[in-house]
Amino acid sequence: MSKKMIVLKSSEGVSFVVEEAVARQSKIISFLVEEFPDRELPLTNMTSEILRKTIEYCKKHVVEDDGGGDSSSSSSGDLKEWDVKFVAEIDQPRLMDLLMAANYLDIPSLLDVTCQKVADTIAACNDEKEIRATFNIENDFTEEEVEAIRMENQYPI
Amino acid sequence: MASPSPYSTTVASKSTKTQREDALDTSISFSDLPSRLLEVIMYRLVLKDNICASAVCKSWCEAAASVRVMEKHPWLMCFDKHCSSFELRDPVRSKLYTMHLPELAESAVCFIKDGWLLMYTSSSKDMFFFNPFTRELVSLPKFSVPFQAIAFSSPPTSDNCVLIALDFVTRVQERRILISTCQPGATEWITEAFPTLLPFYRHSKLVYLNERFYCFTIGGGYLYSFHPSSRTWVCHQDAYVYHQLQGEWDKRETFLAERKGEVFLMFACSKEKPLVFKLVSLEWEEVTSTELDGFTAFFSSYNSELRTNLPSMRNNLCFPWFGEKRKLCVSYSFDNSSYNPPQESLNWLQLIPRQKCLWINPPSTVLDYLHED
Repeated sequence: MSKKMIVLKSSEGVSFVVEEAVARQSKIISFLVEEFPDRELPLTNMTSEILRKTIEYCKKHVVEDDGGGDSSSSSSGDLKEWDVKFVAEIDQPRLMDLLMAANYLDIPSLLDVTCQKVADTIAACNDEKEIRATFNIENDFTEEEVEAIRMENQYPI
Repeated sequence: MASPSPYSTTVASKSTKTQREDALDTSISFSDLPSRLLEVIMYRLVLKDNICASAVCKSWCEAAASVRVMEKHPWLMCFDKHCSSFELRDPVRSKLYTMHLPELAESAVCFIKDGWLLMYTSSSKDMFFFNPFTRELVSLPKFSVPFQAIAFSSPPTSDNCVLIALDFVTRVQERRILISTCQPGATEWITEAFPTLLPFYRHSKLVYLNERFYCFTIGGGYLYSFHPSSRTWVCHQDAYVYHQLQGEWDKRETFLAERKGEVFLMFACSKEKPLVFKLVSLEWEEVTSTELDGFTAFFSSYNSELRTNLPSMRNNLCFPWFGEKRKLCVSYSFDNSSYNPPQESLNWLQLIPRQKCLWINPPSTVLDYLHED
Protein backbone atom coordinates (compact mmCIF):
# COMPACT_ATOMS: atom_id res chain seq x y z
CA MET A 1 0.00 0.00 0.00
CA SER A 2 1.53 3.30 -1.00
CA LYS A 3 1.60 6.01 1.57
CA LYS A 4 -0.30 9.18 0.93
CA MET A 5 2.01 12.05 0.08
CA ILE A 6 1.40 15.77 0.29
CA VAL A 7 3.25 18.75 -1.14
CA LEU A 8 4.51 21.67 0.95
CA LYS A 9 5.89 24.74 -0.77
CA SER A 10 8.47 27.04 0.83
CA SER A 11 8.64 30.84 0.48
CA GLU A 12 11.11 30.44 -2.39
CA GLY A 13 8.57 28.26 -4.19
CA VAL A 14 10.46 25.01 -3.65
CA SER A 15 8.14 22.00 -3.31
CA PHE A 16 8.70 19.32 -0.70
CA VAL A 17 6.91 16.01 -1.06
CA VAL A 18 6.24 14.59 2.39
CA GLU A 19 4.38 11.60 3.75
CA GLU A 20 1.10 12.76 5.15
CA ALA A 21 1.74 11.11 8.52
CA VAL A 22 4.98 13.09 8.83
CA ALA A 23 3.37 16.42 7.97
CA ARG A 24 0.36 15.79 10.18
CA GLN A 25 2.47 16.40 13.28
CA SER A 26 1.76 20.00 12.48
CA LYS A 27 -1.74 20.70 13.69
CA ILE A 28 -2.11 23.44 11.07
CA ILE A 29 -1.11 21.11 8.22
CA SER A 30 -3.40 18.42 9.62
CA PHE A 31 -6.25 20.87 9.41
CA LEU A 32 -5.33 22.08 5.93
CA VAL A 33 -4.95 18.54 4.59
CA GLU A 34 -8.45 17.71 5.69
CA GLU A 35 -9.96 20.83 4.22
CA PHE A 36 -8.00 20.71 0.94
CA PRO A 37 -6.92 17.10 0.42
CA ASP A 38 -5.41 17.44 -3.04
CA ARG A 39 -3.73 20.77 -2.96
CA GLU A 40 -0.19 21.96 -2.61
CA LEU A 41 0.15 23.82 0.69
CA PRO A 42 2.02 27.11 0.42
CA LEU A 43 4.05 27.99 3.54
CA THR A 44 4.90 31.49 2.48
CA ASN A 45 6.71 32.49 5.63
CA MET A 46 9.12 29.56 5.75
CA THR A 47 12.36 29.39 3.83
CA SER A 48 13.38 26.12 2.18
CA GLU A 49 16.15 25.73 4.72
CA ILE A 50 13.83 25.98 7.70
CA LEU A 51 11.14 23.87 6.07
CA ARG A 52 13.73 21.18 5.35
CA LYS A 53 14.84 21.25 9.00
CA THR A 54 11.25 21.07 10.20
CA ILE A 55 10.51 18.10 7.95
CA GLU A 56 13.70 16.39 9.17
CA TYR A 57 12.42 16.77 12.73
CA CYS A 58 8.93 15.52 11.86
CA LYS A 59 10.29 12.50 10.00
CA LYS A 60 12.25 11.46 13.06
CA HIS A 61 9.27 11.95 15.33
CA VAL A 62 6.56 10.35 13.24
CA VAL A 63 4.79 7.52 15.04
CA GLU A 64 3.66 4.92 12.57
CA ASP A 65 0.26 3.67 13.54
CA ASP A 66 -0.03 0.75 11.14
CA GLY A 67 0.42 -1.90 13.78
CA GLY A 68 4.02 -3.08 13.52
CA GLY A 69 5.87 -1.96 16.62
CA ASP A 70 9.17 -1.98 14.76
CA SER A 71 8.17 0.67 12.27
CA SER A 72 8.82 3.37 14.81
CA SER A 73 12.43 2.45 15.27
CA SER A 74 13.48 5.04 17.86
CA SER A 75 13.03 4.46 21.56
CA SER A 76 12.17 7.52 23.62
CA GLY A 77 15.72 7.66 25.02
CA ASP A 78 17.26 7.63 21.54
CA LEU A 79 14.78 10.23 20.44
CA LYS A 80 15.73 12.56 23.28
CA GLU A 81 19.39 12.18 22.40
CA TRP A 82 18.58 12.86 18.79
CA ASP A 83 16.63 16.02 19.78
CA VAL A 84 19.57 17.29 21.82
CA LYS A 85 21.89 16.83 18.85
CA PHE A 86 19.34 18.33 16.49
CA VAL A 87 19.02 21.60 18.41
CA ALA A 88 22.74 21.71 19.30
CA GLU A 89 23.62 21.89 15.61
CA ILE A 90 21.39 24.89 14.99
CA ASP A 91 22.93 28.34 15.18
CA GLN A 92 21.23 31.25 16.91
CA PRO A 93 19.39 32.93 13.95
CA ARG A 94 18.18 29.55 12.61
CA LEU A 95 17.01 28.61 16.09
CA MET A 96 14.79 31.68 16.11
CA ASP A 97 13.39 30.74 12.66
CA LEU A 98 12.80 27.16 13.71
CA LEU A 99 11.08 28.26 16.91
CA MET A 100 8.82 30.55 14.89
CA ALA A 101 8.15 27.73 12.41
CA ALA A 102 7.22 25.35 15.23
CA ASN A 103 4.91 28.00 16.61
CA TYR A 104 3.35 28.81 13.24
CA LEU A 105 2.86 25.19 12.18
CA ASP A 106 1.81 24.25 15.70
CA ILE A 107 4.21 21.36 16.37
CA PRO A 108 4.28 21.23 20.20
CA SER A 109 7.30 18.94 20.62
CA LEU A 110 9.47 21.02 18.28
CA LEU A 111 8.36 24.19 20.04
CA ASP A 112 9.31 22.53 23.32
CA VAL A 113 12.86 21.61 22.30
CA THR A 114 13.55 24.96 20.65
CA CYS A 115 12.23 26.97 23.64
CA GLN A 116 14.30 24.79 25.95
CA LYS A 117 17.41 25.45 23.86
CA VAL A 118 16.82 29.21 24.17
CA ALA A 119 16.27 28.85 27.93
CA ASP A 120 19.45 26.77 28.29
CA THR A 121 21.43 29.33 26.31
CA ILE A 122 20.14 32.15 28.55
CA ALA A 123 21.00 30.13 31.66
CA ALA A 124 24.55 29.59 30.37
CA CYS A 125 25.19 33.34 30.18
CA ASN A 126 26.81 35.17 33.09
CA ASP A 127 24.95 38.47 32.83
CA GLU A 128 22.48 40.42 30.77
CA LYS A 129 25.29 41.82 28.56
CA GLU A 130 26.34 38.34 27.55
CA ILE A 131 22.72 37.42 26.79
CA ARG A 132 22.36 40.50 24.56
CA ALA A 133 25.56 39.63 22.70
CA THR A 134 24.55 35.97 22.32
CA PHE A 135 21.11 36.72 20.95
CA ASN A 136 22.04 39.95 19.18
CA ILE A 137 19.52 42.00 21.13
CA GLU A 138 19.71 45.75 21.35
CA ASN A 139 19.59 47.24 24.83
CA ASP A 140 16.57 49.52 24.93
CA PHE A 141 17.02 50.29 28.63
CA THR A 142 18.80 53.26 30.09
CA GLU A 143 21.48 52.56 32.69
CA GLU A 144 19.06 53.87 35.35
CA GLU A 145 16.37 51.41 34.27
CA VAL A 146 18.74 48.43 34.53
CA GLU A 147 19.76 49.71 37.95
CA ALA A 148 16.08 49.94 38.90
CA ILE A 149 15.52 46.29 37.90
CA ARG A 150 18.51 45.35 40.04
CA MET A 151 17.22 47.32 42.99
CA GLU A 152 13.66 46.14 42.64
CA ASN A 153 14.70 42.52 42.64
CA GLN A 154 17.50 42.85 45.16
CA TYR A 155 19.38 40.17 43.39
CA PRO A 156 23.00 40.36 42.30
CA ILE A 157 22.71 40.40 38.52
CA MET B 1 -17.87 27.48 7.74
CA ALA B 2 -16.96 28.12 11.31
CA SER B 3 -13.33 27.03 11.17
CA PRO B 4 -10.74 29.47 9.81
CA SER B 5 -10.12 29.23 6.09
CA PRO B 6 -6.63 28.51 4.84
CA TYR B 7 -6.72 31.75 2.89
CA SER B 8 -6.91 33.84 5.99
CA THR B 9 -3.89 31.89 7.29
CA THR B 10 -2.02 32.64 4.08
CA VAL B 11 -2.91 36.30 4.21
CA ALA B 12 -1.81 36.53 7.82
CA SER B 13 1.40 34.71 7.06
CA LYS B 14 2.13 37.05 4.17
CA SER B 15 2.06 40.07 6.38
CA THR B 16 4.32 38.23 8.84
CA LYS B 17 6.61 37.44 5.95
CA THR B 18 6.96 41.09 4.97
CA GLN B 19 7.84 42.01 8.53
CA ARG B 20 10.23 39.13 8.81
CA GLU B 21 11.97 39.99 5.57
CA ASP B 22 12.47 43.54 6.75
CA ALA B 23 13.77 42.14 9.97
CA LEU B 24 16.11 39.79 8.15
CA ASP B 25 17.78 42.74 6.44
CA THR B 26 18.60 44.36 9.74
CA SER B 27 19.32 40.96 11.36
CA ILE B 28 16.31 39.70 13.27
CA SER B 29 16.33 39.74 17.02
CA PHE B 30 15.09 37.51 19.78
CA SER B 31 13.51 40.60 21.31
CA ASP B 32 10.91 40.39 18.52
CA LEU B 33 9.58 37.00 19.62
CA PRO B 34 5.85 37.08 20.36
CA SER B 35 5.30 37.64 24.08
CA ARG B 36 3.53 34.30 24.41
CA LEU B 37 6.68 32.48 23.26
CA LEU B 38 8.95 34.65 25.39
CA GLU B 39 6.83 33.73 28.39
CA VAL B 40 7.20 30.01 27.59
CA ILE B 41 10.97 30.48 27.54
CA MET B 42 11.14 32.65 30.68
CA TYR B 43 8.99 30.17 32.55
CA ARG B 44 11.74 27.58 32.16
CA LEU B 45 14.39 29.73 33.83
CA VAL B 46 15.27 29.55 37.48
CA LEU B 47 14.66 32.78 39.39
CA LYS B 48 18.22 34.08 39.13
CA ASP B 49 18.29 33.66 35.35
CA ASN B 50 14.78 35.06 35.06
CA ILE B 51 15.89 38.28 36.75
CA CYS B 52 19.03 38.40 34.65
CA ALA B 53 16.95 37.98 31.46
CA SER B 54 14.60 40.75 32.57
CA ALA B 55 17.51 43.23 32.37
CA VAL B 56 18.16 42.38 28.69
CA CYS B 57 15.48 44.51 27.01
CA LYS B 58 11.97 45.79 27.58
CA SER B 59 10.08 42.97 25.86
CA TRP B 60 12.06 40.36 27.78
CA CYS B 61 11.54 42.27 31.01
CA GLU B 62 7.80 42.19 30.57
CA ALA B 63 7.76 38.46 29.74
CA ALA B 64 10.12 37.56 32.60
CA ALA B 65 8.14 39.57 35.15
CA SER B 66 4.83 38.07 34.03
CA VAL B 67 5.93 34.52 34.79
CA ARG B 68 7.87 35.33 37.96
CA VAL B 69 5.95 33.91 40.85
CA MET B 70 5.67 36.22 43.81
CA GLU B 71 4.89 34.39 46.99
CA LYS B 72 3.69 35.61 50.31
CA HIS B 73 5.67 35.12 53.47
CA PRO B 74 4.08 33.48 56.49
CA TRP B 75 3.51 35.43 59.71
CA LEU B 76 4.75 34.41 63.10
CA MET B 77 2.07 33.50 65.59
CA CYS B 78 2.97 33.28 69.28
CA PHE B 79 0.60 32.30 72.03
CA ASP B 80 0.47 32.12 75.79
CA LYS B 81 0.26 29.01 77.88
CA HIS B 82 -3.48 28.74 77.69
CA CYS B 83 -3.78 29.65 74.04
CA SER B 84 -6.37 32.38 74.50
CA SER B 85 -4.17 35.31 73.61
CA PHE B 86 -2.25 35.27 70.34
CA GLU B 87 0.38 37.63 69.01
CA LEU B 88 0.70 37.84 65.29
CA ARG B 89 3.75 39.40 63.67
CA ASP B 90 4.47 40.23 60.07
CA PRO B 91 8.21 39.47 59.83
CA VAL B 92 8.74 41.93 56.98
CA ARG B 93 6.72 44.93 58.09
CA SER B 94 7.56 44.29 61.76
CA LYS B 95 4.01 45.00 62.84
CA LEU B 96 2.48 43.35 65.83
CA TYR B 97 -1.16 42.40 66.24
CA THR B 98 -3.00 40.60 69.01
CA MET B 99 -5.96 38.26 68.85
CA HIS B 100 -8.11 36.98 71.69
CA LEU B 101 -9.51 33.54 71.10
CA PRO B 102 -11.29 32.48 74.30
CA GLU B 103 -12.57 29.29 72.62
CA LEU B 104 -9.00 27.95 72.77
CA ALA B 105 -8.42 28.73 76.44
CA GLU B 106 -8.28 25.13 77.67
CA SER B 107 -6.44 23.58 74.75
CA ALA B 108 -2.97 23.35 73.23
CA VAL B 109 -1.79 23.74 69.66
CA CYS B 110 -0.55 20.41 68.21
CA PHE B 111 -0.01 21.18 64.54
CA ILE B 112 -0.59 23.87 61.94
CA LYS B 113 -1.10 23.66 58.20
CA ASP B 114 -2.78 25.77 55.52
CA GLY B 115 -3.97 28.29 58.11
CA TRP B 116 -5.68 25.64 60.30
CA LEU B 117 -4.61 24.85 63.83
CA LEU B 118 -5.01 21.37 65.26
CA MET B 119 -5.94 21.76 68.94
CA TYR B 120 -5.99 19.24 71.79
CA THR B 121 -7.52 19.48 75.24
CA SER B 122 -5.71 16.91 77.37
CA SER B 123 -8.25 16.95 80.23
CA SER B 124 -11.25 16.11 78.04
CA LYS B 125 -9.27 14.33 75.23
CA ASP B 126 -11.02 16.60 72.75
CA MET B 127 -9.30 17.25 69.46
CA PHE B 128 -10.47 19.80 66.91
CA PHE B 129 -9.44 21.99 64.01
CA PHE B 130 -9.60 25.74 64.43
CA ASN B 131 -9.15 28.55 61.94
CA PRO B 132 -7.89 31.51 64.00
CA PHE B 133 -9.01 34.07 61.42
CA THR B 134 -12.50 32.91 60.51
CA ARG B 135 -12.88 31.17 63.90
CA GLU B 136 -14.40 28.11 62.24
CA LEU B 137 -14.19 24.96 64.35
CA VAL B 138 -14.25 21.37 63.05
CA SER B 139 -14.62 18.68 65.70
CA LEU B 140 -12.92 15.29 65.74
CA PRO B 141 -13.56 12.16 67.79
CA LYS B 142 -12.00 12.12 71.27
CA PHE B 143 -8.41 10.84 71.23
CA SER B 144 -6.94 9.13 74.26
CA VAL B 145 -3.76 7.46 72.92
CA PRO B 146 -0.55 9.30 73.85
CA PHE B 147 1.29 10.85 70.91
CA GLN B 148 4.60 12.57 70.22
CA ALA B 149 3.96 13.62 66.65
CA ILE B 150 0.75 14.52 64.92
CA ALA B 151 -0.17 15.96 61.54
CA PHE B 152 -2.89 16.29 58.94
CA SER B 153 -2.68 16.14 55.17
CA SER B 154 -4.91 18.98 54.00
CA PRO B 155 -7.44 21.46 55.42
CA PRO B 156 -10.38 19.85 57.26
CA THR B 157 -12.70 21.41 54.70
CA SER B 158 -11.19 19.30 51.90
CA ASP B 159 -12.46 15.80 51.07
CA ASN B 160 -9.14 14.03 51.53
CA CYS B 161 -8.08 15.32 54.92
CA VAL B 162 -6.35 12.58 56.95
CA LEU B 163 -4.83 12.90 60.41
CA ILE B 164 -2.10 10.72 61.85
CA ALA B 165 -0.68 10.59 65.35
CA LEU B 166 2.50 8.70 66.24
CA ASP B 167 3.44 7.21 69.57
CA PHE B 168 7.05 6.01 69.63
CA VAL B 169 7.40 3.19 72.14
CA THR B 170 11.11 2.80 72.82
CA ARG B 171 11.35 0.61 75.88
CA VAL B 172 14.30 -1.79 75.67
CA GLN B 173 12.12 -4.87 75.68
CA GLU B 174 9.64 -3.38 73.27
CA ARG B 175 10.32 -1.13 70.32
CA ARG B 176 7.34 -0.25 68.21
CA ILE B 177 5.33 2.58 66.90
CA LEU B 178 1.63 3.14 67.41
CA ILE B 179 0.00 4.91 64.51
CA SER B 180 -3.50 6.33 64.89
CA THR B 181 -5.47 7.73 61.99
CA CYS B 182 -8.70 9.65 61.69
CA GLN B 183 -10.65 11.84 59.28
CA PRO B 184 -13.05 14.73 59.89
CA GLY B 185 -16.53 13.25 60.15
CA ALA B 186 -15.27 9.86 61.41
CA THR B 187 -16.63 8.50 64.65
CA GLU B 188 -13.37 7.14 66.05
CA TRP B 189 -9.60 6.91 65.67
CA ILE B 190 -8.03 3.71 64.37
CA THR B 191 -4.82 2.68 66.13
CA GLU B 192 -2.38 0.08 64.90
CA ALA B 193 1.08 -1.01 66.11
CA PHE B 194 4.03 -1.36 63.74
CA PRO B 195 7.27 -3.07 64.74
CA THR B 196 10.45 -1.11 64.31
CA LEU B 197 14.06 -2.07 64.86
CA LEU B 198 15.71 1.25 65.34
CA PRO B 199 15.54 3.46 68.38
CA PHE B 200 14.10 6.95 68.13
CA TYR B 201 15.95 9.58 70.11
CA ARG B 202 14.28 12.57 68.60
CA HIS B 203 12.26 13.13 65.51
CA SER B 204 11.30 15.89 63.12
CA LYS B 205 7.80 17.20 62.61
CA LEU B 206 5.69 15.22 60.17
CA VAL B 207 5.51 16.37 56.59
CA TYR B 208 2.83 15.29 54.12
CA LEU B 209 3.72 14.78 50.47
CA ASN B 210 2.36 12.58 47.68
CA GLU B 211 -0.04 10.73 49.96
CA ARG B 212 2.64 9.93 52.52
CA PHE B 213 3.56 11.39 55.87
CA TYR B 214 7.32 11.65 56.35
CA CYS B 215 9.23 11.75 59.60
CA PHE B 216 13.00 12.09 60.05
CA THR B 217 14.44 10.54 63.19
CA ILE B 218 17.48 11.98 64.86
CA GLY B 219 20.03 9.61 66.24
CA GLY B 220 19.27 6.88 63.78
CA GLY B 221 19.14 9.43 61.00
CA TYR B 222 16.52 7.56 59.05
CA LEU B 223 13.55 8.77 57.11
CA TYR B 224 10.26 6.99 57.75
CA SER B 225 7.00 7.30 55.93
CA PHE B 226 3.42 6.25 56.45
CA HIS B 227 0.93 5.73 53.64
CA PRO B 228 -2.56 6.16 55.17
CA SER B 229 -4.70 4.47 52.51
CA SER B 230 -2.64 1.24 52.50
CA ARG B 231 -1.64 1.66 56.16
CA THR B 232 2.03 0.91 55.53
CA TRP B 233 4.94 2.21 57.55
CA VAL B 234 8.25 2.21 55.68
CA CYS B 235 11.81 2.92 56.77
CA HIS B 236 13.76 4.49 53.90
CA GLN B 237 17.20 3.37 54.99
CA ASP B 238 18.78 4.71 51.83
CA ALA B 239 17.95 8.21 52.87
CA TYR B 240 20.66 8.09 55.55
CA VAL B 241 22.29 11.48 55.96
CA TYR B 242 24.37 11.56 59.12
CA HIS B 243 27.52 10.31 57.47
CA GLN B 244 27.49 13.58 55.55
CA LEU B 245 27.48 15.59 58.75
CA GLN B 246 30.32 16.19 61.14
CA GLY B 247 30.56 17.63 64.60
CA GLU B 248 27.96 17.72 67.27
CA TRP B 249 24.82 16.44 65.63
CA ASP B 250 22.95 16.49 68.90
CA LYS B 251 23.41 20.26 69.13
CA ARG B 252 21.76 20.81 65.82
CA GLU B 253 18.15 21.57 65.25
CA THR B 254 16.59 19.47 62.50
CA PHE B 255 13.79 20.56 60.22
CA LEU B 256 11.90 18.61 57.64
CA ALA B 257 9.84 20.54 55.10
CA GLU B 258 8.04 20.00 51.85
CA ARG B 259 7.73 22.23 48.86
CA LYS B 260 6.24 21.63 45.40
CA GLY B 261 6.66 17.87 45.56
CA GLU B 262 10.12 17.88 47.14
CA VAL B 263 11.25 17.05 50.68
CA PHE B 264 13.95 19.17 52.29
CA LEU B 265 15.92 18.44 55.42
CA MET B 266 17.71 21.28 57.16
CA PHE B 267 20.16 21.42 60.04
CA ALA B 268 20.90 24.59 61.93
CA CYS B 269 23.49 25.17 64.64
CA SER B 270 24.74 28.48 65.97
CA LYS B 271 28.34 27.36 65.54
CA GLU B 272 28.26 26.45 61.89
CA LYS B 273 26.66 27.21 58.59
CA PRO B 274 23.17 25.69 58.26
CA LEU B 275 22.92 22.76 55.87
CA VAL B 276 20.12 22.04 53.44
CA PHE B 277 19.50 18.64 51.88
CA LYS B 278 16.97 17.64 49.27
CA LEU B 279 15.54 14.17 48.84
CA VAL B 280 16.43 12.92 45.35
CA SER B 281 15.44 9.31 44.53
CA LEU B 282 15.47 8.50 48.24
CA GLU B 283 18.94 9.92 48.85
CA TRP B 284 19.76 13.19 50.56
CA GLU B 285 21.66 15.54 48.31
CA GLU B 286 23.17 18.68 49.75
CA VAL B 287 21.79 21.86 48.24
CA THR B 288 24.64 24.36 47.87
CA SER B 289 24.18 28.09 48.47
CA THR B 290 24.14 28.78 44.73
CA GLU B 291 21.47 26.14 44.10
CA LEU B 292 19.03 27.62 46.59
CA ASP B 293 17.59 29.94 43.93
CA GLY B 294 15.82 32.44 46.11
CA PHE B 295 14.69 29.93 48.71
CA THR B 296 13.50 31.11 52.14
CA ALA B 297 12.80 28.67 54.97
CA PHE B 298 10.81 29.58 58.08
CA PHE B 299 11.40 27.32 61.06
CA SER B 300 9.34 26.68 64.14
CA SER B 301 8.78 23.78 66.47
CA TYR B 302 5.36 23.20 64.90
CA ASN B 303 6.04 23.61 61.23
CA SER B 304 8.56 24.70 58.64
CA GLU B 305 7.43 26.70 55.65
CA LEU B 306 9.40 27.12 52.43
CA ARG B 307 9.02 29.93 49.91
CA THR B 308 10.87 31.22 46.88
CA ASN B 309 11.40 34.70 45.56
CA LEU B 310 10.48 36.70 48.63
CA PRO B 311 11.97 40.14 48.05
CA SER B 312 14.68 40.94 50.61
CA MET B 313 14.52 37.43 52.11
CA ARG B 314 15.97 35.30 49.34
CA ASN B 315 18.40 32.54 50.30
CA ASN B 316 17.58 33.01 53.96
CA LEU B 317 16.65 30.78 56.86
CA CYS B 318 14.34 32.47 59.35
CA PHE B 319 13.95 31.51 62.99
CA PRO B 320 10.97 32.32 65.18
CA TRP B 321 12.86 34.84 67.30
CA PHE B 322 13.09 38.53 66.78
CA GLY B 323 16.44 40.31 66.87
CA GLU B 324 17.41 43.46 68.64
CA LYS B 325 14.54 45.83 69.18
CA ARG B 326 12.40 42.96 67.97
CA LYS B 327 12.20 44.35 64.46
CA LEU B 328 13.09 41.42 62.24
CA CYS B 329 13.32 37.75 62.91
CA VAL B 330 16.67 36.06 63.47
CA SER B 331 17.89 34.78 60.13
CA TYR B 332 20.81 33.26 58.32
CA SER B 333 21.71 34.61 54.90
CA PHE B 334 23.44 32.17 52.55
CA ASP B 335 24.45 35.09 50.31
CA ASN B 336 26.35 36.83 53.11
CA SER B 337 27.24 33.59 54.96
CA SER B 338 26.17 35.21 58.20
CA TYR B 339 23.48 35.38 60.79
CA ASN B 340 21.47 38.53 61.35
CA PRO B 341 21.92 39.67 64.08
CA PRO B 342 25.58 38.53 64.00
CA GLN B 343 26.46 35.15 65.41
CA GLU B 344 28.31 36.61 68.42
CA SER B 345 25.17 38.18 69.76
CA LEU B 346 23.12 35.04 69.25
CA ASN B 347 22.84 32.32 71.75
CA TRP B 348 22.14 28.75 70.94
CA LEU B 349 18.65 29.07 72.32
CA GLN B 350 17.64 31.46 69.60
CA LEU B 351 18.16 28.82 66.97
CA ILE B 352 16.18 26.21 68.80
CA PRO B 353 12.67 27.14 67.88
CA ARG B 354 10.99 28.36 70.98
CA GLN B 355 7.81 26.78 72.09
CA LYS B 356 4.43 28.35 71.49
CA CYS B 357 5.39 29.91 68.18
CA LEU B 358 4.50 28.90 64.67
CA TRP B 359 4.37 30.22 61.12
CA ILE B 360 0.94 30.78 59.66
CA ASN B 361 -0.20 31.89 56.20
CA PRO B 362 -2.45 34.87 56.76
CA PRO B 363 -5.50 35.05 54.50
CA SER B 364 -5.57 37.96 52.06
CA THR B 365 -8.18 39.61 54.25
CA VAL B 366 -6.06 39.22 57.39
CA LEU B 367 -6.32 42.87 58.40
CA ASP B 368 -10.10 42.57 58.65
CA TYR B 369 -9.59 40.15 61.52
CA LEU B 370 -6.95 42.09 63.42
CA HIS B 371 -6.25 45.29 65.25
CA GLU B 372 -2.74 46.63 65.59
CA ASP B 373 -1.20 46.86 69.03
